Amino acid sequence: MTVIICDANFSFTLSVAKAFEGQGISCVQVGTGKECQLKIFQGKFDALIIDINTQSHSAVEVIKYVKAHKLKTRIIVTLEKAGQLEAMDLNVETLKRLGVYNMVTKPIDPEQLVKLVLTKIGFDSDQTVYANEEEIVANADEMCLLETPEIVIENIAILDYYVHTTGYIYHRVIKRGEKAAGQIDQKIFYKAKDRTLFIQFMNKIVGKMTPDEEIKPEDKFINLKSLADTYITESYTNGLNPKLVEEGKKLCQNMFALLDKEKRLKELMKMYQEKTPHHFAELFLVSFFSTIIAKSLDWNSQRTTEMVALGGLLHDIGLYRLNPEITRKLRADMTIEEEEIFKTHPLESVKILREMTQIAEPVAQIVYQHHETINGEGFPNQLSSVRIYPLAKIVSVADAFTSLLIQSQKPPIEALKMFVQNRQNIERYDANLIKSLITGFVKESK
Amino acid sequence: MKKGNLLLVDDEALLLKRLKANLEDYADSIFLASDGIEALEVLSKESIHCVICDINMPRMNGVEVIKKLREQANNVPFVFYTGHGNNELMLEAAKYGAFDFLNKPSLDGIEEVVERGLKMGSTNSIINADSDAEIMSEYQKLLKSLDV
Repeated sequence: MTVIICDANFSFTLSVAKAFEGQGISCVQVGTGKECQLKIFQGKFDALIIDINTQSHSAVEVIKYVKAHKLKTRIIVTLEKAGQLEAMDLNVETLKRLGVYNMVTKPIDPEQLVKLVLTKIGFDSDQTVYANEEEIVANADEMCLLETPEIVIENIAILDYYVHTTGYIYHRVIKRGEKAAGQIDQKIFYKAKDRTLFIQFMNKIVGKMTPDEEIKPEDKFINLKSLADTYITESYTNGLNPKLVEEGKKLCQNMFALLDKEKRLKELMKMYQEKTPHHFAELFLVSFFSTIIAKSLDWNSQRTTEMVALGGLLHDIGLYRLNPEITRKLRADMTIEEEEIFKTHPLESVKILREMTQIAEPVAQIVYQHHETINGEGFPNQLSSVRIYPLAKIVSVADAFTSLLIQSQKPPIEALKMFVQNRQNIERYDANLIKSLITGFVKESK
Repeated sequence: MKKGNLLLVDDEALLLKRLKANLEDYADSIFLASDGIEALEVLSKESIHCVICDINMPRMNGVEVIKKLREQANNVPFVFYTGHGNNELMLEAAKYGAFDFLNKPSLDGIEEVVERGLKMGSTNSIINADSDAEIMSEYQKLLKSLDV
């Protein structure tokens, strides 16, 4: 086997060459694209490792040369830092089409490079032959971070779980069907394509945790929140499917059950410390507070509470069909035209939900009307108090309160006081619902 | 205690019969109408506290009925039910203040919706809006509990 490495940094090429020679593999070192192309023309190489910054015949020129001559040379590209490809107007897909087998970001242990070449680990895991099954290559967006690893450690694994070793390489630490051998100090990941299966697993776990008196309320809340965040990520990035809709309903049932069991909201939210949560975390809170309000109403039922919980989770799903340059802005910073586009998101959301026949009409109506306000100044239809769907009014209050909670970065009770004392909120939102929200926070009387 | 009077509107006679039988214990009287025009006649003659209405009917659909009622300043709780394929009508209905929505054919939760609707319809006639000051005062009383 023969390898060629092209990099202007000679100490790097020397260290890599030594690593290959340690495995009995000869390694040619060159510093420019022109030298590299000449060597490839003159001889056969099983693998080419080339730095993306290669000059004097660029790396892309050399790669195109290999492809054009249909050479059986496996190509690995090295980068100085993440984001370098985008800065050069390149992307992973372009490189794959040119025949690049893999990509790593420095610093990299030369032994790892040797491993990549020997084990033939490439981008597309379906086509590769693994020297051992324990390693995969994945982009960061193909892997999900496990937020509650303790749950995974305690139970038999329903998925393969990995730790990130270097570059695009992830090493499996728990095999599906087995239990963890011991503590794992690193962050644990699973494949994003297994997210729905993971949600199904967590729904069962959270369902079992809720009636367990041994588990602290705040731990139950954290696990529910982690489940909801995962659910929202899957729904909002990959879209809804029938299986996911059913898991959403179970999640809402779990939320209802948790709040039924643990009435001391302040205890539940003890661990809530997020200062700048991402938008998906906000969506969980909208659902959570919607559930709180619904459960405090005298006309509460499990059906209506689960409807508002699901409506809360999905209420902004249409936002992701709009131009992100608009949706990332605060409303106060939008132009008139941008705001008109923003106001179409309830209808966009309904169009998405209509594709799923399992989504009940009340949920679609909640999503459609959650920006209506009782003074008739909301959107999309400027409905006034008696005309607004009662369940939508609940999510409307929860959404407004969540926004204040996030933006003010105050603890929940302080944010609640701010929300309640704002006179504009009397004009916009049903007073009975605001009272229900406060009631949800009040300690249960003995 | 009075439960209130219910109006069921649907062009399927068998469904109306079934619903009436299932909901007998939830209302004082149950009236039936086979389309929107009949429904308006009943509403003009009887004291109705909640309407359960199919959205898609011949002669006059559910949206046209609720629209007419709202023009007459009648805010009786209106519950729509529908099978799939009436999405545009449902969104249109929402503009006139639908109280709730049910999916055909299961009509899951209809009993609970009827109870709630009748209760709302029976107390709807007199709504005394509290002043802002009264509302703030109630909020403050509730908030005080949080400081304990």
